[in-house]
Amino acid sequence: MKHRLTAFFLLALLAIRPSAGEVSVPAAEEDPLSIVVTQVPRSSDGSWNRAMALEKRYPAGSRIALVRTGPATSTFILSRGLEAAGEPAVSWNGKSVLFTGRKAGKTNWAIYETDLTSGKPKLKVQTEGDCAAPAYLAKNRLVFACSEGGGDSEYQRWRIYSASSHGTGIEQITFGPASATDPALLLDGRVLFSMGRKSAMGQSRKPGDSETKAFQSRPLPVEGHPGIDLGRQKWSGFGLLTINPDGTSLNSFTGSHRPPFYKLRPRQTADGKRVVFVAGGTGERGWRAGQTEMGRPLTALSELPVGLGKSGGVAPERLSLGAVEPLPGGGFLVAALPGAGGKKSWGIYRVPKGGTKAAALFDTEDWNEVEAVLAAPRMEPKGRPSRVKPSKKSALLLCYDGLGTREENPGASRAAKILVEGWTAEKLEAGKSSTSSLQEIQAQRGKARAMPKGPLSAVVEVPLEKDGSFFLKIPADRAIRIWTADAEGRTIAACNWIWARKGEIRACFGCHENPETAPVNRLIEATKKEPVSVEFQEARP
Amino acid sequence: MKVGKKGSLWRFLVLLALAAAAAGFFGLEVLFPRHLRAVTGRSDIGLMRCTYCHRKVLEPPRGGNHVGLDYMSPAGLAVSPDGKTLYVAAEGADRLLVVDLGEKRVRSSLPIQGRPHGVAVSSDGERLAVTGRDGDRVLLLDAATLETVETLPTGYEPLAAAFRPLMARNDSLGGAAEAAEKSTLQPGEGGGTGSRQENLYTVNGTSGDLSILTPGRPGQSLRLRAGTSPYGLAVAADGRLLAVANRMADPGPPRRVPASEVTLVDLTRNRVTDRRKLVSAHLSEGIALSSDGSFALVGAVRVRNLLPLTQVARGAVMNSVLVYLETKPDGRTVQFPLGDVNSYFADPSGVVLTPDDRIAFVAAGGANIVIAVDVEALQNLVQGSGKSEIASVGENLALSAGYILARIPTGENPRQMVLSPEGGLLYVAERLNDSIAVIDVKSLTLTGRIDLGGPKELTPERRGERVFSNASVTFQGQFSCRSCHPDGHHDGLVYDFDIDGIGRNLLETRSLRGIRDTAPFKWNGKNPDLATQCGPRFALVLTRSDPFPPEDLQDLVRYIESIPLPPVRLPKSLAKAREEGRKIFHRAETKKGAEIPVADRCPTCHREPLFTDRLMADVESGAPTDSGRSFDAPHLLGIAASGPYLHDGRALSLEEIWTRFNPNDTHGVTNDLDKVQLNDLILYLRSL
Repeated sequence: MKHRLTAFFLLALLAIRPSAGEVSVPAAEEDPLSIVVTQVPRSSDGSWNRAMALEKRYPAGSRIALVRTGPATSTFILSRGLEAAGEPAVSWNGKSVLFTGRKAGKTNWAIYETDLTSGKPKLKVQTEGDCAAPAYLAKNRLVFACSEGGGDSEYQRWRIYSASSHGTGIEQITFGPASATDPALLLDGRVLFSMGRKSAMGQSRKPGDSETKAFQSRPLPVEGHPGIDLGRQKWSGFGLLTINPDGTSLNSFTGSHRPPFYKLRPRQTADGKRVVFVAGGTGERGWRAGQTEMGRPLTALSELPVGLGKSGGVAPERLSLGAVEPLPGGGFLVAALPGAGGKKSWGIYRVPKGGTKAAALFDTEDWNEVEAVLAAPRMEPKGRPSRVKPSKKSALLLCYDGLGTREENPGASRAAKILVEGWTAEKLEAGKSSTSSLQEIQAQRGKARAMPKGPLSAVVEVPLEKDGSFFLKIPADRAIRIWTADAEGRTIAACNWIWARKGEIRACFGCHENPETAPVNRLIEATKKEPVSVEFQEARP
Repeated sequence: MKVGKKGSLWRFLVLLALAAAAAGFFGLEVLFPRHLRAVTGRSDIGLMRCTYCHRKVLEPPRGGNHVGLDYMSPAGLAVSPDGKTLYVAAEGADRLLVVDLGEKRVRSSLPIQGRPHGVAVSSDGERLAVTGRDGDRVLLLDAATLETVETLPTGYEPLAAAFRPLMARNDSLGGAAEAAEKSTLQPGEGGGTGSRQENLYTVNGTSGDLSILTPGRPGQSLRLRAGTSPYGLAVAADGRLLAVANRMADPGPPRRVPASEVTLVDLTRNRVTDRRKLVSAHLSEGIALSSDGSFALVGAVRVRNLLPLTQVARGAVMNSVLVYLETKPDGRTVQFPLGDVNSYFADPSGVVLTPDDRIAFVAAGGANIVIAVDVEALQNLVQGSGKSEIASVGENLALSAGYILARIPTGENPRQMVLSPEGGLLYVAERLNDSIAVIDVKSLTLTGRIDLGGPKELTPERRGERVFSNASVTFQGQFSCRSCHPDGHHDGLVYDFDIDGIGRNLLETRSLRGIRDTAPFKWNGKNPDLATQCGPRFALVLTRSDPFPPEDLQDLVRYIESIPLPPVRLPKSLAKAREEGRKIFHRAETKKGAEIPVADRCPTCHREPLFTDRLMADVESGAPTDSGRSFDAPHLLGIAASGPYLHDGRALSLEEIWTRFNPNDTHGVTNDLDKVQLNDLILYLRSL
């Protein structure tokens, strides 16, 4: 049966025919490949980049196509009936593709799926906001990002959700004020994603009088705070983080502190040794391919050479890269606009295994090819058993060492307690999928609309143990931020917003500790006591 | 015959009782309170199946290999000085294999009883030494004829063996050292030439010592205390220094940082000169010494058992390390991670070092990988680091990129290794593949494989052993079942599983030896069988990845059920004391003649033949952090080697169970016993 299906699939691939009006550029002298590409109209200018709003990234007419490269190039449209589409992700068995799409007359983006032979998209997930960046999880589940809805999407906050392969059972798995998008599944079963921050997010408190680098004394009011409208601030950078598919165990991967400051659309290589991504925010150097090693993701950050710079007669600063996709046998597919040197349109290039020089694989005169994924089966990553207990409303958070910032902040040695700040409670803003019940969606909408916007300022004080540890019982599915403070309550340092899922038992090894270190084997003082319960008093700012 | 109303009632009652008994035997739970009270002395036991107690139970096998067929399961390796012959201790098949390295095939095979484990070749190549793990002896063989020349008794469970290099010794020892040596052992005195002058060394896992043996003079053997469960040893090329790798951490309070030992022995004086502690590290199986003996390299597992097991990521449970240990007094000991932040290469085993001291190889048994390490890079890091940096190296998971030369895939479960004499080829025992991998040291690639000729059919037990020994089931391959249950036993440590809260229900790892018929499992007795114990909840609590596929789980259970007990080791001279101890164990009265209630007698809970009634019992061993007061009554077979004791490992020895933790006679009536009687009781227990 399996062989018959494979044969059928191969025959179907061979049967795809060129669409009328396509003028294909001969491909490089490589083995023919079947790839799924995103084509956007050439009329869109050359400033295309991954950080643009969806409307600009995939203007009307953008489409997903299955392309057979080689001398007999053929193209088969997969997003028929949609006004615009992009962000393709091929299933583990290589037979279907998820993508972001928008129907004519609609303003919001949704997740669609089509099999590679029919090209008839089926709606998988739609909400009141935009949904984008879909990817396949293991065990017949999907993961994608949804915006909060409304407004200019460049400023939108995205959150990551998972759902069944039918688009039902939608579950929010990222929380807090940061923007989370571009999820991808790692071979070990975790979800790697890009998390954006706004510069003001670390400054939501008014700096105090005695602020210094060593000891930032910021009075943190117990009730109320000035509040900041994050809505109109651009995201200042995207770092890479990991979570489990159920949203537990948020951890830094590359973090966001080291350049390049935009790390988007991460992908793990088939041998599991590297992660490549689209790198931006490097000043004049434009958008390029970044890479890091799985073994030391923070310290091994570097540019992935793709040979589309000087060696191609193009100044490196003129390169603009839209996607980099590892190939199963090694090498990469790259969607890029080399810039000067003759090329004026985006095309798909192939970097061979072990090579650093890309060769043109597919480029058309009428379209800009800005993304490409190989249409082939891949090894399905492992699953991870969920630790979420839906019946619980709280989670446990154990921090081994709240003084872990001591190297960066000499003042940390004066820390005597922590202040726990809570972000507004969050719910799925709206849900509409192919099979969700209407009542469920309406209930979610009702709750979402009742939610106040912006951070809530409730703060809870918890004393630190002698060894710097603390143990909290915190509300689940709600972002919190922890500040260390001296005995007078003057804040010293803060961690990023984090969360724990329902029933999760979460450990932090330190505050801003090196994410490439393991914890020291020692008895944690806070484990000798019951956790301190943190309950926020809800209040509008 | 007429039957009145009274007779009908009796008949009805008899039929009812018979029906109840039948139901009990056919698996239905019934209530026989009087019978249960008489047997257990307890009235708190409710419904129970008759077959819970009345069933056919087989005492578990003792020693040997019980995976169904005679797999070779290669353990120790040694190469002849001319590099033409490889000797393999085939532990699973009770054989010594002689491999022709030119033809890459087994040339001959010699039966050797008692699980041969370690093998060594004398420097002249004339003699072979093969340890018998279950026989507590080492055989000295003529390498040419494979005839036994001599049998030398060792400590309990001899494992690795080594000769002391003769040439190096004669060349390097000065007059003073020679004189000092004569005062202890002088193997060459009055003897012939060649290997008969060489001392022979074995490490003995169960007795925890090092045997120093003199072939031809069995009366001159010496035993030096090593660490806990010594496993590997190495002798420096100059013959002056011997180093022992010990597998388990030293006994200590359960909530302190564990530390195992590397024992350094000055061979010129046969004295232990240093007991270097590997802080927070254990399970060392392999050790290598540099050619001048200035440093040792030891594989180990850096464990984090004091931290609650909230996650596996970021080495939160353990990571493999290669310990760089300067052998000089007050020398530095640095633990270098062998994995990185997202992969861990579990279960480091054999360690070898090239003759030029430049490349070390570590077999990662749980990852099917041999890791090549740049030793000079390690030394540079050691030289350039301060004291605090050195202390934190074991936690720095990004460091390994600076010294790992290659990770070379192998067959199933690479363990012991040996280099060819010139150091150009590395031979790796692929224990669960019955083969030897051949790795080219220059290119760091696998260049061939020698089939040792074991059965090709895989029994469920053998497949299960592979599952047991492979870390791929764990998130990022951080540990295998074997990482906490080395060779089916236990690691002796206490862990804090977070499934029922943090800082609560601290539990000592239980040995898997002989547990086949001892269900239920877990200290809280919640798992009715091994399939449940190792099932999806196990993945949720421990491995944090996909559970074992059903077929793997089935095989794994079969393997665990096959894990044998160790042989009983009791000198005949202690038979009388053991008998006294047996009487005390079974006594029904105190020394003063008072009756001991049934519930308080030893055999009530520790009922023969498995020495457990498989019921929960409250012996007031619960701690304030425990959720319950009762714990599963553990079986006592092989208990001598399974310390520490009690559910949270607080009793470091069997003695402590009663001298420290039984003040009110709640764990058997023992406070009327004098020291001799208590010793007899313990001796009896140690003989089970």
